Amino acid sequence: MKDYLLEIALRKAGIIRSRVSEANLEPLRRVVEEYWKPYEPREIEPASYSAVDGSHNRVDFKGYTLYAVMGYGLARINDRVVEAPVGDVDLLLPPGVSERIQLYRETAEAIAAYKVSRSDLLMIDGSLKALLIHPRPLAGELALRSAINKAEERLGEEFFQEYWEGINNGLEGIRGESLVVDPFYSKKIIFSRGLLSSDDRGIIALLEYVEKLMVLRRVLEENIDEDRSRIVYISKTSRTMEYFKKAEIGEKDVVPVISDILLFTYFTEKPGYSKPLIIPLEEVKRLPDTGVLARIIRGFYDEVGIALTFTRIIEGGPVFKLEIPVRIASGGPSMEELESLIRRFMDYMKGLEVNGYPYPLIEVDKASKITRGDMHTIAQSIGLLPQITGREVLEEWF
Amino acid sequence: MVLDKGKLNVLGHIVGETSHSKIRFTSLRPPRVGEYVLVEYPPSSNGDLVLGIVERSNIGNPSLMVEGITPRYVEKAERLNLERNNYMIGQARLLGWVKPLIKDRKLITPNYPPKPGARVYEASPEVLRGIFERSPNEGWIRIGELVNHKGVPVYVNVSSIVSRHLAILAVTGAGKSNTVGVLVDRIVNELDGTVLIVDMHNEYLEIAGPGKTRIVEPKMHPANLSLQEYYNLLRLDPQASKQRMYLRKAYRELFQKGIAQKEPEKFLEKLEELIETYLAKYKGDAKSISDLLNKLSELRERYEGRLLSIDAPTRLEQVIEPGMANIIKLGDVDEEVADVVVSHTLKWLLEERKDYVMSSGGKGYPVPVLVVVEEAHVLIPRNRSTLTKNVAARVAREGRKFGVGLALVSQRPKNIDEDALSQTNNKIILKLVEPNDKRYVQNASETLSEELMDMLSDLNVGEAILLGMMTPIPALVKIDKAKRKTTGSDIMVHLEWRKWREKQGELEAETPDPFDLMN
Repeated sequence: MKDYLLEIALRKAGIIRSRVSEANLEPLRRVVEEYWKPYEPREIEPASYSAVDGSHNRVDFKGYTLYAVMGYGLARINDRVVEAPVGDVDLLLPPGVSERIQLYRETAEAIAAYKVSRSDLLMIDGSLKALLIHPRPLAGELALRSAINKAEERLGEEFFQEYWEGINNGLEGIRGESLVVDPFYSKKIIFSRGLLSSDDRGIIALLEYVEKLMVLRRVLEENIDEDRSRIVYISKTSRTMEYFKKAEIGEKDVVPVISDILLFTYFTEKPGYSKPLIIPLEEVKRLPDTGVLARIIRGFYDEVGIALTFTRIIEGGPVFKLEIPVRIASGGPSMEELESLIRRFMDYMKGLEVNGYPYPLIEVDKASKITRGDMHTIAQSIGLLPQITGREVLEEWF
Repeated sequence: MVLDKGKLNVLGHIVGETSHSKIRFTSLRPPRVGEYVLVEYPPSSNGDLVLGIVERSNIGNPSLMVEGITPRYVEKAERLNLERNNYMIGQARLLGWVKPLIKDRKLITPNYPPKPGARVYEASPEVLRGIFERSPNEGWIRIGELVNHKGVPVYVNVSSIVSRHLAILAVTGAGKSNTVGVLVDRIVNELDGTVLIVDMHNEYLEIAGPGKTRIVEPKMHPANLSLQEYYNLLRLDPQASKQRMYLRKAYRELFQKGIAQKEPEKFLEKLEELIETYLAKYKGDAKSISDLLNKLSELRERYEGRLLSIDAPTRLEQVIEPGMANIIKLGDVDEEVADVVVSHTLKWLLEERKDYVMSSGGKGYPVPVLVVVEEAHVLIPRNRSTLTKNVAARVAREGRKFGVGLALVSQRPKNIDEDALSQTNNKIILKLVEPNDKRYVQNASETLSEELMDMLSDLNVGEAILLGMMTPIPALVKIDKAKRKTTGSDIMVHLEWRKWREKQGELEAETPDPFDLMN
């Protein structure tokens, strides 16, 4: 098969190469020249710092899925290193398995972040904006409304107030705990309220999504003060095209569509950052603007925006995306204040970098990774393997 | 002794696939190579614990398993308490069931593997004492204590050493002589044993203490030497066929005419006279005969009256006194001569012991003997023939039945005859560095695994791996320090120089300046 594909590639080599070399990128250069600000960061190690990442993995058996999720926080505070693992292992029945596992992982990461909050710099791997996207069963406006109505009907109008309090109590309870067997409050409610039928799918998705937003609210509250923010979401890859959209492309120009991260990687080499853009949290705005959820969630997120920037901290190093949540209620920080904040974060990251990337994020990436081998061990340890997974014919257990 | 697992300290758990002979285990602390561990088994008639020895110990850290890692990377990782990610893995070889080892002194190896996840315990001093501690009444002597379990004494079985032979191997300065010293002292003083030491460098002193150590001057009666021994003493190699021929002719004539028997004290003189007569008789070979006569004359000049002496002992007890450490000093003779002396004595000993056993004590040498051959690579070499090598091969094969044991001592194992080395079932291997030496020793040992072999370079002075039937199980041992000064110690060069300078200074001070005298 490899030979077959290689043959095709060789025959098309000329065409493929011309697509790269003949691409007209000039209209995009102007965007970079306008937005990119060279800055050589100073090397400052923050007095305290923390990093968070997570992962998930699964084994699909015939009829059900065994999953494991892991959020992992690591902090150095007052010369002490603190670890905050948050994980869960359980079974899920279809449908919606992938979305639910993804949600659990994101909530686990948020809880881990909460546990290592209050340092001078909290770095979280990934995109904050992506965290706010509704899971599939709640994707449409109608589906979301319907789920909220059903939930209030089934669980009571004041349910989300109790839910918020329950999640808050839970977070305080597990803050210092090293091992929490059931970290998700939504699961407790789903089981205690008997939300187990396929009709309840919307409510379940809503509870799980809302839990993530509520935990995330607590994380942001802990780390954004009126005058300064201590939290940053960092993405090594990104499909964001906010800067690209600003390019003035003529009608006759044939310009390839590329992401912002590629744009800045292609046209810059030296350390610097892009002038930040403030992005509102549109996704959350689809939640109702009245009632308990509006008060607890939308009300909060309406006052938060994301300062988006792309940075490089060493010459020739990688460009990565920073999303810095900031309060925008009273007009938000000025551009000068924002750039000062970005430069401070860059100074800190330079103090922690290895190959142009903050080392703590490398460490938490490794520590949180759930491999296929781990899943195999877990499945065997609890007696689920060897069992029918459907892959036995390939002489694989899963 | 009841083995209560509840009182043992858990060291870790077995991981990965197991076999009946090897396990890998995660460990709470870095296991020490050579350390004993107890491995949990499902209960059986042999108990539920198997003794193992740690052969490999690794510490890993996933944070640092990165290609192209840089010092900066490690520095940053250290800030986040690198050690928290450390994992420790040990690999152990399974030796045998603990219960029969302690109760019946029997090593029974397990023939099925332990379960993954099973506990691995630290071997407690009580368990190890139960295995290693033995009584001199049963023929055991203490040789040292376990390196990794201080205070646990290790004993070796002397009967096994004599009947299955022993090799003591190490680089120079690693503790060979001390090991010989400890063994000989205890064999002689605790067991009333008899030892013959072939001392190639005149280095052994009162190894078994005053009254228990004898220095034996090497002496052989000229009329008792074999033709082959004369070939060697005269350095007549097989190419010197004519010289050999005339010597053979004269030697045989002396015996055939009864001259050797009638006047043994004049054997060399008569031999020389007889060969001189050949000069006139065989004029065509005059050169060869003259060369032979020259060599004989040189031999007589050098050794007659000393090594070749008419008052040489006629009874073996005069050479090897029972119950003593007998040291043959060979530092002043050539290697060829040493070869003749040692082979002569060994052959004599083997014959006498055979007589003793065959006659049920009616004649022959009365007690078993351990023969310690220092510089074994010289007398029993790998790639050439010596007289001692031939006799040693016989002793190695037959000594077991007749109570003659060999202890080969060498710092160049790879130069010892392969057969002789592999006949030594017991081995005390101290530090060895040269890879070929290690490989050679491994080939000659049934029980020296690759991992144990790797350890040999890292042993400290006085530390040794004990293998063979003399020890209940393979052991990493710190050999005791010999009580007595067994050998002459190394010269402290700088002190000798300083002493000389000070003495010179004193002399100069005492000698008046001739110019002063003139005044």
